[in-house]
This record gives sequence, C-alpha cells and structure tokens, in this order.
Amino acid sequence: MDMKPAYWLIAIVSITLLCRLILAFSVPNFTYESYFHLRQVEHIKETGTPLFVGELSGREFVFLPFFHYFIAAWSFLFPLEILAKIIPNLFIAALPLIAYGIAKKITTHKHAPLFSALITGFLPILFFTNSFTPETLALPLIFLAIFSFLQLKEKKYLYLYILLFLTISLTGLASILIAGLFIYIIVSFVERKSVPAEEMELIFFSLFFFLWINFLFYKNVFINEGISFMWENIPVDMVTQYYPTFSLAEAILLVSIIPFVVGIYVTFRSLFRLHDQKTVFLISFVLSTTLFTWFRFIRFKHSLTVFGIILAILFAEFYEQMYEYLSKTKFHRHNAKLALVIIILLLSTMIPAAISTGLRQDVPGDEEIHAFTWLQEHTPAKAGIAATLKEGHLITYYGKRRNIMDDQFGLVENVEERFADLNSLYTTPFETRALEITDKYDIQYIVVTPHAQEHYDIQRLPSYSRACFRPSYKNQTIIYNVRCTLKTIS
Amino acid sequence: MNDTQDLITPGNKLFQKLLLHQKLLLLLATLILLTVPLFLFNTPQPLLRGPESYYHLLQAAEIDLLEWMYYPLHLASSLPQILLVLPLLLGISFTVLFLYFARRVDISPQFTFFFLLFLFLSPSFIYSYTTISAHSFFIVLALASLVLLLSPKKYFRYAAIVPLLAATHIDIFSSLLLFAMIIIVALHLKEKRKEITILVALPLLIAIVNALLLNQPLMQGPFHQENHLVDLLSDFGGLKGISIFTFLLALIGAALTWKKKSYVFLSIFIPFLMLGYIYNTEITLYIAILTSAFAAIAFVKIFERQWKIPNLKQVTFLLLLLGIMFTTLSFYDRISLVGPSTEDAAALTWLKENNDDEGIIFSIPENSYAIEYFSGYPALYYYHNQQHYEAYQAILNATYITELFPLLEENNISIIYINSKVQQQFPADQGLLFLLKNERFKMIHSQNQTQVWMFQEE
Repeated sequence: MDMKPAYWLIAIVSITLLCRLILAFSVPNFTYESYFHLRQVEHIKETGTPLFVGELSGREFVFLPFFHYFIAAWSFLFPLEILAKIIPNLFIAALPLIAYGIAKKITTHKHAPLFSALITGFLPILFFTNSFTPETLALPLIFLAIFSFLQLKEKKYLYLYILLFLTISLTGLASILIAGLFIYIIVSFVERKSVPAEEMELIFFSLFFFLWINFLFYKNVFINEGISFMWENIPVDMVTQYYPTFSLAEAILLVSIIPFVVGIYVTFRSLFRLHDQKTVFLISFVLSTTLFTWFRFIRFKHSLTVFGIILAILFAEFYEQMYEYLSKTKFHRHNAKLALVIIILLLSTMIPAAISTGLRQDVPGDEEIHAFTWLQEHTPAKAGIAATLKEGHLITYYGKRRNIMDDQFGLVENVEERFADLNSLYTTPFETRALEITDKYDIQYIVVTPHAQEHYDIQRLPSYSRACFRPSYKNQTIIYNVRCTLKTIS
Repeated sequence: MNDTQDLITPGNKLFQKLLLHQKLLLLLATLILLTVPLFLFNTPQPLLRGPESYYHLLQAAEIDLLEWMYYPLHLASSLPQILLVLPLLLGISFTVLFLYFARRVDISPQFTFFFLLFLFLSPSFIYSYTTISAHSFFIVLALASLVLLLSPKKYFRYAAIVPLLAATHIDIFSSLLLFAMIIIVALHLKEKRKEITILVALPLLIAIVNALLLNQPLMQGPFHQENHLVDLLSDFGGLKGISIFTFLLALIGAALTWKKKSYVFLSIFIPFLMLGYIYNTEITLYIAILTSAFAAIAFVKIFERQWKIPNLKQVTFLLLLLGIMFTTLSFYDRISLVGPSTEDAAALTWLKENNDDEGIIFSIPENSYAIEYFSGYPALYYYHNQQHYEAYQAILNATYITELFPLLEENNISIIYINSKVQQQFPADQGLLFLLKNERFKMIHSQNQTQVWMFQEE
C-alpha cells in the first residue's frame, strides 16, 4: 500500500469499468425496460422532443427526460447501440470515485476510502450492466450531490450541489435525496444538533423545487391516481415484484455480506454516539431508504442500491476504527496484512456475486429480437400485438407496433383489468375468451416467446385452434395471426 | 443590508407599495379569482354549481320558522342571477370583514397580505365562494360577529347578537368553533369580557337548544364521496382542499410556533379541526383558513430573515408562489367538472315538464341534489343521508335483470338518469348501463351524453 491512493483509485475504477464493459458486451441485448428508453432517445434524435404521447396507441407517457436528451446528444456522434452499452456503465463506474470522495470526508485514514471505492465498484446490486435506464445517471448524480452537500462551506460545491439537484430533478430518484435530507433534519433535531443555516436553506430550496418539477411533469398522474401515484399504478398482482417484502437473504446477496454486516454495525454504533455531523448526514440516508422500503414508497431495487453504496462508504469508518484499535494492540505490526485479508475477503465474496448478477440479467435472446423485428416487416402498420408485459417495449421498439401493455403503468386506465386480460390471453383454454380479449384490444397478432412459455408454463397458446390462430412465424418464438372475431361483421 | 435579501422587508419598495394598497389589491384579487370560474364553466349561460348548492336550494324551497336562516336564500332563488352573485358577495364580504378585523386586532400587514393571498388562492376558498356553501356563510357571520364585538361603539357591539344567532344555525361543530373564537377574543379583551359574556349568552342558549332539541347535525354533509387525502390536498385531484406547498409551509409554521404563547390561540384549533376533518371532510374551508394562517407565519419568518445564500432566497420565494399558483391553475382546469351542467339542467327541467310519474329517480349521488331541484322528483340516494345506500349499491352491482327489476320495483324507481359522469364511472358492456337495453327500459329523452330512461311496469 505504498502506492499513492490516487493510483489505486484509478486502478479500481478502471477494473470496474473493464469488468462492466466485458459483461455488457458479453450479455446480448438490453434488459427489457431499457427498450422504452432507447425508443425515447431515438425519438428525440429524430424530432427533438421525447415521445410523451405514443404514436401508435395515443397513450400518454410521463417521465423525466434529461437522461434521454443527454444520450440523444451523444448519439449524433456515436451509434446508439454502442453508446447505450458504454455510457450507463461509465456512469456507474464513476460511483467508486464518488464513494471515495465521500469516504474521505468522514475518515482521516489515508487508505480507508479505497475500501469504499472497491466495495462500491463491485457491489452486486450495481451489476445490471445491460440496463439502459435513467437510474444509471441518477445514482452517481445523487452521490455527487451528497459529496457537494458535505462541503457547502466552499462556494463552488454550493453551486455544484444546486446544478446537480436541478439535473437529478429532471432525471429521477430525487425523492431519495429529499427523503435523506428530511431525515437528516429530524435526526439533528432529535439529537439537539443545529443544522447550519446554509444547509437548511438548500434543503428548503431542494424540497420546493422537487415538488414543483414533479407537479409540472406529473400533474395528470396526481390528479388521476391520487396518492397511489407513489406505487406507479402497478397492478396489484405485480406490486410484490416491484415492492417485495424485505428479504434479508436477498439484501445480503445483492449488497454482499461483509459490507452489509459492517455497515449495519457502523450505523447502529453511530446512531447512539453521533459525534460527527457528516456521519449523521450519511446515516440519514440509511434510515430514509429503510423507511421508504418499509412503506413501499420506492422500489426495493433502488432503495437497496442506495443502501448498499452508503454501507460501502461507512465501511471506511469501520476500517479506520479497526486500524486504530489494532495499532494500540500487539498486532500493530500486522496492519498491512489486515488490509490484504480484507481485500481478499471482499473480492472473494463480491466478485462472484457481481458476475453472477451480470450474467443472470433478464434480457431477451437474439431469436426473440428477430421475431419482434419480423413484425415490423410482415404486419400492417396499425396492427395490435400481444406479448407478455415485459416484452411490451420490444413490440414498440423493434416491431414498431402497438402493444396491449408494458411496464409503463402511469395513466393507464383500468390497469388491473388490462393486466388480467393479458394474463388470460396466455392461460385461457377457451377460444371465445381469447377472442373476446383480442377483439377488446384490437389485437391481430399474439407473440409466444420462450420467455412467455416459461412464464406461463405453456408450449403454445392454450386456446389455439387452427382456424382462429394461425402461426405466421414459427421458430423458438411463435407469432400467431388472429383470424377470427366475435364481433358481428355487417 | 443586501438588496437581494429585501423581499418582504421594508427595504423592498415594491412590496411596501403592495402593502400600502393591499386592501384594494386583495379585493380585486377576490373579485378576479371568484369570477374566473363563472367563465370557465363553459356554458351558454352560467349555472350555479356544486351538490351542496342544490342541497341548500332544496332546503330553501320549503322553509318553516325553525329554518328562518334559509329565508334570504328562499327570496334569492326566485332570481337565478342573484344566486350566482350571492357567493361572490359573500367572498367580498369576507375580505372586507377580515381586513377590518386585522386592523382592529393589530395583525401585521405582511401577515394579513400573505394569509389572504394563500387563502384566496386555495381551491377550498374559491370553491366555497363560487357555490352556495354553509361553511362559507358561517365564516362571514363569524367574522361579522367578531368585528362587531370588537367595535368601539356600543350599539355595534350589541348588533353582534344578530350574526351570532345566525351562525349558531349551521351545525354543532361550527357553533363550537364560533364559541371557541369568542372565548379567545374575550380572554384577550379583559375590559370587555363581561359585556361579551352577556351578548353571547343568548346565542349560546340557542345553540344548545338547536343541538339537543332540534336535531341539528354535528356537521353538514357530506355532499360528495369523501377521500381524506384528496379532499385536503387539491393537487391530488380534489375539488376543494389546499395546495401541497401551502400545507408544507403550514407544517413549518406550526413547528416554528410550537409552544409559543403568542400563537397558542391558533394551535388550539389544530386538534379540533383535525378531528372534525376525520369525521367529515366538508370542513376543508376551515382547514384552509388555519393552514393559510400557519403558512403565512412560516412564509414571513422564512423570508424576513437574512439568508446565507441570497440568490437562493429569491428563487425559493418564486418557487413557493409559483407552486401555490400552479395548484390554483390546475384547479381551474378541473372546475368545469363540477356539475350540474346546462345539459343536466335542461334534461331535468324537461322531465319536470313532461313526466307525471310519481316515482323516484335513480342516478349517482353527485347528481341527486340537482335532480331533485330541477325535476322536482326525489333521488334514491344522497351522500348526506345513508338511508338507501344498500339499495343504491345493490342496483349498481346488479348484473342480471332478475336482480335489477325487483330492486327497482321495491324502491319505486321509475326514472334512470344518465349523464357523462355516470358513463365515465360505469362500463357500458355490463351492469346497469348494459341492462338498459332491456325492453322494460325506454329512453324518453336524450341530448348529447345525457339520457333519461323510464322503467316501465310490466
């Protein structure tokens, strides 16, 4: 550990980025939800504006567009397919750097922050390398904002925080930052510690700006859905998928056992002996994400990600305390070996889990992509296509056709009924029921991919009949052309 | 002192000019904010809106001695134009009375300005003072009582008994609120305590008689489907309520004034109104007044002090005002949804003129009051009266005629009234709307999305 910490940091970031890129290009295609964002970027590139109203279905999409504009700007220089794999991984690879910076603020030990960087770099929850979503930008921005907030006394960081907050408000996940700031005020109040005036002013500004931006973009969502906008209009049967009950096993797996245990230890210890306002600030984020997860205000995946990164940062404090303790004992000569042991332990527990997460990403296969692309060339432009919920974006992105439903639930009317009908289409053995659904949603083609077969435990459409459902495309994926209707044709 | 910090302090000349002319500006604001909805209702001729308006008009149609309160409304209902102007007049009266009250009790001009601004911009205030609302009337009466009680002239103080008596006829909750306000005033005015006690004795007696002997309701209404969050925060789709920005400011204001003696008179209303609101969300106007007060306190305190980041102060100031105005504009967007529409009035008036059947009309409860007012026939179910709730639900949930017909016959329903709201709420391919295809139902009137169906005897 005689090398300058900067060199070690560069090494960590480089290796992280390299691992991520290797995985990103090894695993084919993107995660299912990424295709919605890809479509938005393409639309911005063509027309200059996001697709807030679907061209095919006329339905309204509500989302924050900064990420899409950012990528669209770069897509004039580089192919989108390459950019979409590289840029999100670049963003996430910057997290170790930011974690290092934050950890440096809470420790005085020269090398302790490097452990935070290392853990952040290989957090399994962050190894969704093929995910092209705004969260990949929002996360580093949030932690950079936290880093800036810790140094508000310097004017440049004050302006940096404001700029970052404005950007996060237009990207996503700003609620996590707001919640953390809010809990920070409460914890300071309970501990009878005064919050500096400039921090209070920034928190006021952040809160009201966040609300204002959200009301500008999501006004119709609030009016139509009321408080249930917090649960994104997700069908009840799917809520547990996005907001599962807390699973300790899953949390340990995705955050890794050492940072998890150490982070919880540091949090509990610091809660009862809060000596440093910076630690209070970071722990507020642990508390806020825990509370939000408990009340299902944010998705489990997002809260666990933030939770994991904060625990990684707090690991530096643990290391420093352990180092100081050992320095006072007869084991002080083995401090360097301690660092090595910890690195080996961390890497051996984290790297396999991270790679496993990367390799097990839920992505469509090449054959499925081919099938959806076939739709564009062989079906009428106004045809309605049915596929599973996850594959909805593949219909619109590759097939350029209208779908029944996808994972953008906001402002979808009768979302429960629609979801139930979609499931029925793949499970009902009754032809009339299937035709009732295809008539209701004006569906001309039904796609049964290997993923759909696995999900519904079917080999083909259960209501299949040669007369009414003719396979127009047959490979691993089958695309049925609906040839019957229950409507009276005059 | 840094100039960018002078937003609401004496250093800001523009704001000082605003305060100097605030009476005129606030009156103008009341006028503009309350007349805009009349144009936004987008009808060939303006029509009084809101289920509660028609509830009161129905009460005023047949009054007796015990309902002497409805007499002015009874007179006004003979001239529809006056009915439209009545809420506006009440709104202006509120402004005038409050400004006078503020001067009498030495409320700072800054607080008065922002309190009234936040209140006027609240959907609750706009809704209450563009429809006929018992609570809006009560507030004016309560203010009038306080203003008269605080008058230096004896005869004016004695005259307070009139609005006091009138104010006790709204409901028990409002009467309790009124007496709580008077007690607070009396505690502050030691020299007039005895006089106030004497003046208040008769209204107090009348209030007790109303409550114990005359079955006065604890609270008027409800006149709509209640949802505690949506009714409180208009940004979530409610047609009353307050802005979430005002609400957050009010929370900050409550936190700032917690345990401060000079603000105890405000804080004691918090649990009282909270409990009342949990019981019945029709009191959003009272909630709006209290939250506007706390919001004004917070706003003044936050922006009077020197900030470490002056530019941020200006931006936050603007954000708050824009946010509150955004709620108002969003509310204006939706206010045209408040029924009845001209189509409703026309269809129901047609029914009155062309139908001899003595039966009951079935429709969603939002339409019930207007149905009875325009058609002269009673509706099955009203929100404020749960008597036929089960029958109403059973009819709505009936999926076969073998379920539906006996229910209609049992409840003497001869007319089904369908308008755009009914069609939005219920599917056309199942349930009641689907069963209308049966031969025992005959459409006797139709205009655009309004339909009147007759249920014929076998």
